[in-house]
Amino acid sequence: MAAFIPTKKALHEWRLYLFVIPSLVLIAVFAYFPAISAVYHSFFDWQGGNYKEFIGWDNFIQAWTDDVLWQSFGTVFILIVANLFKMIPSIAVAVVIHRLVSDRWQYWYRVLVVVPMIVPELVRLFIWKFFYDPTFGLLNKILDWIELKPILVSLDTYVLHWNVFREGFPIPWLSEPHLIVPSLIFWGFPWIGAVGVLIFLAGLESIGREVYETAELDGANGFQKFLYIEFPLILTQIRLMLILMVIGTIQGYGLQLLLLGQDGGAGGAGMVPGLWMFNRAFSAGQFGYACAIGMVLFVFILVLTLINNKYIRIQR
Amino acid sequence: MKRETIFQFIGFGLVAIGYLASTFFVLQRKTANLEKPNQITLRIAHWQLEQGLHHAFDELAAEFTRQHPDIRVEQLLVPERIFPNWLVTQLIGGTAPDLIEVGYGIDDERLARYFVPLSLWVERPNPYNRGTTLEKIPWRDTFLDGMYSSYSSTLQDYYSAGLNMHTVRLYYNRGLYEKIMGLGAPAPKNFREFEAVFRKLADYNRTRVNKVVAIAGSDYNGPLLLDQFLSNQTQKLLLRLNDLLDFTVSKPDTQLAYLAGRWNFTSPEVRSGLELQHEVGRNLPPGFQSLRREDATFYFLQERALMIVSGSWDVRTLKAQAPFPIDIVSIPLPTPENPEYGKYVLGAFAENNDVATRFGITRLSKHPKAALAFLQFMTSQRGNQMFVDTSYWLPSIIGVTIPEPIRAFQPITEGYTQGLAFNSFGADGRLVINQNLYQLYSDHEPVSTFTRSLEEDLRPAVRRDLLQEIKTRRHAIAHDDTTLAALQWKQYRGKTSSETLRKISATRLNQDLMECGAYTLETSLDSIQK
Amino acid sequence: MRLTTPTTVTVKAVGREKLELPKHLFVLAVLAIELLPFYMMLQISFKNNVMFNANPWLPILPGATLVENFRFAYHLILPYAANTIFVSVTAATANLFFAILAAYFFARYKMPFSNVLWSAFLTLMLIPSVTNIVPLFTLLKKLNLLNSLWGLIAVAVASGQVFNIFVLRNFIEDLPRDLFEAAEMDGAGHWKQIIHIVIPLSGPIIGTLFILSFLGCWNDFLMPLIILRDPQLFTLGVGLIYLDGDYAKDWGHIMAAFFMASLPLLIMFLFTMKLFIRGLSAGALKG
Repeated sequence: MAAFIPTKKALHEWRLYLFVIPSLVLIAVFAYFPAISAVYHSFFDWQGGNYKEFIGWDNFIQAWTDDVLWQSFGTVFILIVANLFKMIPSIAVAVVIHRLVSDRWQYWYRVLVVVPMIVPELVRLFIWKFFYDPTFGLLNKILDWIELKPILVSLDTYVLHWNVFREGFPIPWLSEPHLIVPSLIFWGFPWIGAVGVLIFLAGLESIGREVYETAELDGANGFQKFLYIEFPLILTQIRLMLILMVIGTIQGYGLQLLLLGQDGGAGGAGMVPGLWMFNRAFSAGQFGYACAIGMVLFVFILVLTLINNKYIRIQR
Repeated sequence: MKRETIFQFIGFGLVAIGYLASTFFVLQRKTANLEKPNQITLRIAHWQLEQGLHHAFDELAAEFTRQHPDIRVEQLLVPERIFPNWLVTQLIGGTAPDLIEVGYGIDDERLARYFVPLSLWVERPNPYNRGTTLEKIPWRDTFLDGMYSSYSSTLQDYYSAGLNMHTVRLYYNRGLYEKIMGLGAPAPKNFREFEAVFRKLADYNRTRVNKVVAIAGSDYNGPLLLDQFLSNQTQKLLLRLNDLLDFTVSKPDTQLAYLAGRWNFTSPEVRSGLELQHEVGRNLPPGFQSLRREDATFYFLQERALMIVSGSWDVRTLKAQAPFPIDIVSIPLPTPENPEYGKYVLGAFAENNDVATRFGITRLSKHPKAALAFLQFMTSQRGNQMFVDTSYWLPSIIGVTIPEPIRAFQPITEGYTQGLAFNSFGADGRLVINQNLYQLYSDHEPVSTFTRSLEEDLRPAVRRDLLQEIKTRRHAIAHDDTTLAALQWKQYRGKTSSETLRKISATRLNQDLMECGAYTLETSLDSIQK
Repeated sequence: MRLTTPTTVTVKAVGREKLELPKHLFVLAVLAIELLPFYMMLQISFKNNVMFNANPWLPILPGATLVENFRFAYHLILPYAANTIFVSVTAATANLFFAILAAYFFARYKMPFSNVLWSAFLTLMLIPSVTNIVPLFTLLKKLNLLNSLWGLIAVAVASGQVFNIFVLRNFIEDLPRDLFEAAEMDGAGHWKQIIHIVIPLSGPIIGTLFILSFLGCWNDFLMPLIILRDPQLFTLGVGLIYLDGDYAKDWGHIMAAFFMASLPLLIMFLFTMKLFIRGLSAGALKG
């Protein structure tokens, strides 16, 4: 525990404050000041220059009636739900690696999990974009090869009525409004996050071999072992990753910007709140309104965080 | 354990070495840049990433530096896709280069706020034309379009000067074309022959594994081709909207007429245009709206597409990279003789001789005089000839000869007016159209589905655009107030000159015209609301 | 919580090998798909457009094209890489330096106002960085940090503080107090305690945080895209976006450039992989 220093002694030990001041100054200038400035400017008609005009709640009223903004929240909600499921492969891989008997293999798999991290994110992004290319892309070629295409075509004809899967035509993954969100969801398959896997493995580390043996004596199958032994132990880690994922998804827009462009692709189907804010600021030049969108986003994230703190407490 | 530690040390050691090298690189570059203290650096930004273009600019820059050793010119090449965002960032951030290509991501409001008006100089001769036939002619009149494209009718001023003109043509792969149409087959001359090519290609594809697409398409090349069909079919419609019979129907005029119900997307002319767009659009690769310009170029260069529609700006890239001979013809649009589609057509377009690749001088420029000099140098007869010879682009200046490889692009000046286009709408209107455009290329009742999808959202969007237009004009008036105040203060101080008086009256006239336009728009909008 | 290598925790069991094969297959299959982008990048960088078109899948023998592609990539990427290394290492180092100081303060002492200051840091976790981007941009403009690598560094250092301080504080709090007390008896000041106790004992965690900060900086492209104007200042992020914006694409060139851009990370991971894995596996980021 930290040593308690009363006020009297603190005057003597004032130098200690110097340790925290650099960090404090940094966050005050580059985090708090912009945040407060964003609140302030959300009440202005401001185009980024020196001229600004106070317009009260107008920006927020505009946001309230902005269909694009609310649709983008819908899209981001779908993406969050999808990302929830996309956490499963990381957990599964961590559990399977942990269950391996050989420590040597466990170690080498960890190394292999980390290897994709050497590819810069942007490069991954562009390669995936290349995979989605209708004519040259990997995805359509694989679908043709495993003959999944006819199934998709009949699915479309009889169930979906999207009119996007057609015999003899390559599937335009990133240009059909119906397909944009599914493409974004499928993006990054099989969704293994190196950091995630390693953190889960860390949580699993405390399970001794004897626990498994006891469970096996009780006749537990693989899934029961997961449910009763492994899952409770990595719950903390899952919660941590969950929060990081939710916050990351709701704020994120880099992927959409580079994959679909600043308008969110055909039909604006890939528009997310962050991208809309970026678009309003750096394309339309409506900085004041962009700040207001930022405020709306902030409120959403705040509410999510409060819910999280109330119901899903992380014990330190 | 021991080996691991050594490994880590090597690792961080390498990071340290890399870091030292990088730091050295970063810091020494800074000093290297300051090497010539008496030289100023002009920065010129554009999105012309076509092959050979930056060489053309480099040549101009080198020649300019030879004439003015104290000025160095640096090019900033920004990809088109991020140019609008980039530009707004630079303008607002105050880091904008001295000369910026105008047109993409710049509306009148940004022009008025961030760019230097050129009216003072356009009436004087371009000093770099000394010794040529253009020596005594005002700068404005040395341009093939009389600087018409550089003039902002809303802001009543010239804000840019351009380097070249562009025309759009149909490029086709001669080898592949003869394989499909027969040896020595002539190029399609009219729309029926164009349709015949599509049919023959379908036959050809039947026996092949790797199918050939008729026309390479993208979100860029697609509209270049397809917009012309809409424009073609609405020639007569546009004449009807031209109340003053002065052959100019401005964009706000078209939008007002749309709001007033004088035309809409179910008008027979527009419908016919949309049907044609659908028919021709089916010969582009599916989902072409999400393909990029570079994808289309790639399709064509890899002989996966028989044709591509692009402008004279791509001649160099395509001819240099294609392993096959390329022929270039005009786009075969339906003529009045066409039994199916000829009804609403007047005839072949007169190609507007708009000057493109226009550069404006930013107010943020630290060296506006040098920037103006370079701009005038680029648009002088000699400078422009130099530019054209290297870039294979069409010139913008009188008396500059067109290089041989782009003769097919020589603008057709005699013909009829163009009709409507999607870009007659403002930003919000275009957004609504673009977001629904994919429906026009679906299989099931494409045209009606598309027009229905516009019904609800387009009207409010057009209204928003027009309100923005009014706002822009008012901003321009307020902006001129500052100028006016400065001029009158000068006059009050007793420094009156005829130039000051001329500027005062011109600015006042400008304000009146703006107010007039804004007022007309406002009242028209109000009357439509009722 | 102590750092331990995996070998010391698990107890080996034998005679279960028959169940092992499916597990291996599962992990290998998943990893194979995960590594597919890497494979594609590598094999396409050997080809030019014509070769790629004829044979998009399988690797070919290296030839003149490879040399050509990599010569292009080398000239393109080298300045970008230098800028990126400069920014990333400077930012990560400064980030951790300040974070260690602040974490030491919070972990070791309970001074007046330290609770207030701590909440000042924690509250920041609630403020989404995306809302700040617009005012941050105008702030950088006022500070004259636009179109400068220092602007990037300042933002990166500031944005990484909270997370790093948070993790490090937990870690330092768990260090045995006797160590610090003994050091104080010997008359060691705060600096000495940090250098001789905190840094050696939290080596792996500092290393891991360093790599994470470094990666964050390395992978960022939004801030550089907004901040940088001059091509000679470009970091890899912007440089690759510009490369992707070319009108006629040569995939071999592009993939070779991508590979070159991955190379520094490859080298770094080659040597620090164990440290990184150990740092994360030891539950460093438990929250």
